[in-house]
Amino acid sequence: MDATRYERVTEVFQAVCDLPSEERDVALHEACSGDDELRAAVERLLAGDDGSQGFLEPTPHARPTRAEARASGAGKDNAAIRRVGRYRIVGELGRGGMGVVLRAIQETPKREVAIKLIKPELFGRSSDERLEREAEMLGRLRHPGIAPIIEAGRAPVVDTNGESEDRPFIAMELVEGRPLNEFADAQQLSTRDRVRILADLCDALQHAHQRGVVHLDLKPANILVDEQRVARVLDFGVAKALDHGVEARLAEGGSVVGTLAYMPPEQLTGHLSDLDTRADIFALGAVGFELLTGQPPRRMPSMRVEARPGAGDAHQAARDALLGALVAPTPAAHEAAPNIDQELSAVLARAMAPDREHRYASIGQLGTDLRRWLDYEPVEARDAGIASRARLFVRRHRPAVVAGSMAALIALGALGLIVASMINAHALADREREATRAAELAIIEAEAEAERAGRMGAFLQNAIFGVDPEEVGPDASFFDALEYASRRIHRDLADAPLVEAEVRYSLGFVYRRHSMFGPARRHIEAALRTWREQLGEGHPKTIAAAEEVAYLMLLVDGQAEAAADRFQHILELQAAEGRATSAEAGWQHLKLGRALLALDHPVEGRSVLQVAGDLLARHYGEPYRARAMAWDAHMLLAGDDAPQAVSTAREALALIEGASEQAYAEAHVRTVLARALVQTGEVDEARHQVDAAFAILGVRLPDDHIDIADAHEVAARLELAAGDTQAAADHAEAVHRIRSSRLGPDHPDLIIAKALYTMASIAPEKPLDAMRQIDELFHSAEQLVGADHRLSLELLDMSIRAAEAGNDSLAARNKTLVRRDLHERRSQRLE
Amino acid sequence: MQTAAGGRKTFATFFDPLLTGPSRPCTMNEDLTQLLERVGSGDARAREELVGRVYDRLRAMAGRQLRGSNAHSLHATALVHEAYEKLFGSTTPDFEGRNHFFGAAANAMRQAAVQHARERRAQKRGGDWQRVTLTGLDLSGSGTPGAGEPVEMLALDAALEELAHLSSRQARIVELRFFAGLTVDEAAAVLGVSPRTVELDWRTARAWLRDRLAGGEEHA
Repeated sequence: MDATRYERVTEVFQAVCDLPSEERDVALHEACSGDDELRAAVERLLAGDDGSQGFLEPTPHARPTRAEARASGAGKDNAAIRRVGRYRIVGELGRGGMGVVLRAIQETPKREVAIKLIKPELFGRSSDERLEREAEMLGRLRHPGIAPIIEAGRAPVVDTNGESEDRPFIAMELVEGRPLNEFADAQQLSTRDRVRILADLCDALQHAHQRGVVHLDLKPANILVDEQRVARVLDFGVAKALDHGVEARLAEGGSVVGTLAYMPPEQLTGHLSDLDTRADIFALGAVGFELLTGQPPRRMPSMRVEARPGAGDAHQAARDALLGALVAPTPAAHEAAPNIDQELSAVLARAMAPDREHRYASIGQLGTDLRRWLDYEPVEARDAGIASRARLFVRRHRPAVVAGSMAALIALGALGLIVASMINAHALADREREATRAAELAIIEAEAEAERAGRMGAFLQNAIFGVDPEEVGPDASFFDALEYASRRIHRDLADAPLVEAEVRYSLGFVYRRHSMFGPARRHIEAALRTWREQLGEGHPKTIAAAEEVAYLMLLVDGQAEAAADRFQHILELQAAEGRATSAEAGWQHLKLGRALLALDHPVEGRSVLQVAGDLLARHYGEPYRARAMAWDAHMLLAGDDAPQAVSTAREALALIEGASEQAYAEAHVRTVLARALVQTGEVDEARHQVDAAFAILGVRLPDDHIDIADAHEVAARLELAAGDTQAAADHAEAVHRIRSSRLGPDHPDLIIAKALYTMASIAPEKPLDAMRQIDELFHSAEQLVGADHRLSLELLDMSIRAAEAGNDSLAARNKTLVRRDLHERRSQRLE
Repeated sequence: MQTAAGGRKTFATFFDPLLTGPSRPCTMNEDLTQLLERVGSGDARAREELVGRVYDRLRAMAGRQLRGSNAHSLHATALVHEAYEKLFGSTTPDFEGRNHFFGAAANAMRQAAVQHARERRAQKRGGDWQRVTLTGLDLSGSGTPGAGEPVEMLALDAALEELAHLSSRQARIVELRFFAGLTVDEAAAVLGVSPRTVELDWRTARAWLRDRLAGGEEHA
């Protein structure tokens, strides 16, 4: 035969090889049209093709060993399967303990699927009903990290000869990708990238666990990762659906050893029905161990378990040996691989605790701990007293409640800073190794960090003693301590710029919380300069300081656009550093949302706040979502949807009401709720809410705190709506007084304060004077934020009202036309 | 001669022994990148050299793993990917370069397998035969081709040679799939054809080989 001839043979073969046998004869007859030689050659190929599944097949991931091939009955009956039920078989994907896995095409909807044909002897223990029931439940799992089951049951299996036999099968969506470990090694994924995949897997498993489905056969080969690094878990719940426990596997022999390496001790001894989600936690821990260290967590005895009749004793011995290996303590990951730090190692150890009572309570907690590690936060698994204290501090550092007691705050702060820095220093030291830096350097740095923390503690202690009543008299206040510290910083810490920066950052943060924006900005800008120079742009500290500076721009200067740019830049830096989902990023999204609100971009603002809420809820618990929801209610008001704003604010209130640590947020939620209620005309309810907000803020904040001004603003609107112009004027006056003393002269919030005052105090007597003043304010607003900003529109509304009150109908009509045009422009912009 | 052999030994201890081959030590990645470029521009000698290097690397790695205790865990895909990593390290050759590498790797794995089978056969005659089973690729000379029929590696090699005369693409696909452990998609990328073509050709080639190895004579 020559190449041309062979080409023709190939052509005919490929045309007929997938046809059922009766159609095939006809097609062959036509194609060969009397060329017997050609037909004979094709038939030889067809004969060679028949039963060639597995022949030369590389499929290294699921390559059957001889024992498995025997056990799965290969060569006996599934040699040339062409069809299973409504699926057309196009190839083999692999073989495993349960039988052969085939690649198939489903006609409607057209898609590729994987068909698992279950060994008949394995199915003996189960039942059709059970399989279908479980499959139906598994089919309801919907998560990007889980390869869903399409259906399961019994279907006629048709082979090349057209013979058919009913066999149990499971049809799954075909998942492209490579097995987890192979993918990670081929892509040379860093430890952080690997941990990210593990954390994503936790989400997928959590989804299933919440629906009562456990996997029970988790192993690297059951996890495929695609090019986008999306990991998908295969064979979910199949073990349970088939009642395919360890005993069954031991009876089959073969692959059992490979699978047992990832099983928790209780899975070998207990019955399947006793197992729970914690078995999956162990298995994922073991998978993670291997993914991160390159070796399985325990060496299984190097014997094979052969399933042979009459091999009972050997079977028993093998079982005992396996049991011994299974209950042996798992090694520490950081000892197995030098690039794994102790924190990460502790997470894996907790997941793989031999006693399931000692494991994480849920796989979601494992995921959370992995993400903590990714965010450079101390992990739960290292449950030392010191670690938890530091953690408390770190957590509280952000949503710091304004201090009631000076000494308590500073003492706690100093202790916390010391402990936190020491912990962080060690964590840093551990992780630095992951980069190319030498470990030694990291340790030196860790010691330096600890030293810095010590210096800072000493400094703050001095600050406390500096305002000792013995020296400064009985009226020493919190602010005296802050001032004392501020004055001494440079002198005491000139030789330790990083310590100085740390102290300045803390002082700035506290000053800002007290609305003392001048000193706040000075300290934080100094800290930012030092950190940027010494630690670099992407360092968490630099980012934190940059965030504060941007926030002050927004809060004090009203430069929303510049602030939004900076928050955006900060979030990009965070993402580049792998901290896109950190708690910090949550607060940064919240602030970006506020900047977008100030820019009158409610649509983008809402999606940013959604992220903020999710992150805050994830890191601090559900009540913290209320903080984002309160701003979302503002956004809805800006989008002219007051009823929705009311219900969002009410939802937020339900999340936090009564929790004392949330009182401050509660005041904010009540304020925005009141504002929305004014809009929907429910004035009495609004008054009740704003009074409640004042009650909370009044005992916590000084009268002239900037947040009090916000409550006054709502009260002024409320009284204007209720027709009590005197009360409205009082509130408006307070707003103006506070804001003009705290905010920069060009802040848009000052404009609305002036406008409200004008409407309350001038408009009742001299409406046309009020109109002219409002028009002035309108022009300022136009310059500052643009004519189609909701602030400008609100001013125009006020001006129209004043014109109408002064019977200047011409002015009113002209303004109404302008208003309509601006409204149009704003709607277009918002789209 | 004596001096030359001694010289080579010093050389080998100087560098990682895996880096030295019959041609010359390959220590620099830039070197390889250039080589790949030359292969890409159709330089036949560069291609030879690339195959040589990949071959040395794979052989050394296979040998080392076979000596080690975990011989049974050796399989073609892992070897090829490891070789890739060792050769290119962190420098990532472009898409073309990757494909050239995998093409060469398939060829090299085939040569390594055949040579190993020859050595084993020689040892077997000497009575010192021990069975080494490798997943996916049985370097001992016989394996499990599916329905429990052993494949004689040398016979497979000869049959592939024949197939190459009938359809070089089909023979190439067998090399890529069986010897280098590439998936259908990867093989398609290396050959620049569609995955469907690879799938069909692969099936055809397997049928032909199976028939051929079962004792089918070539029919005129």
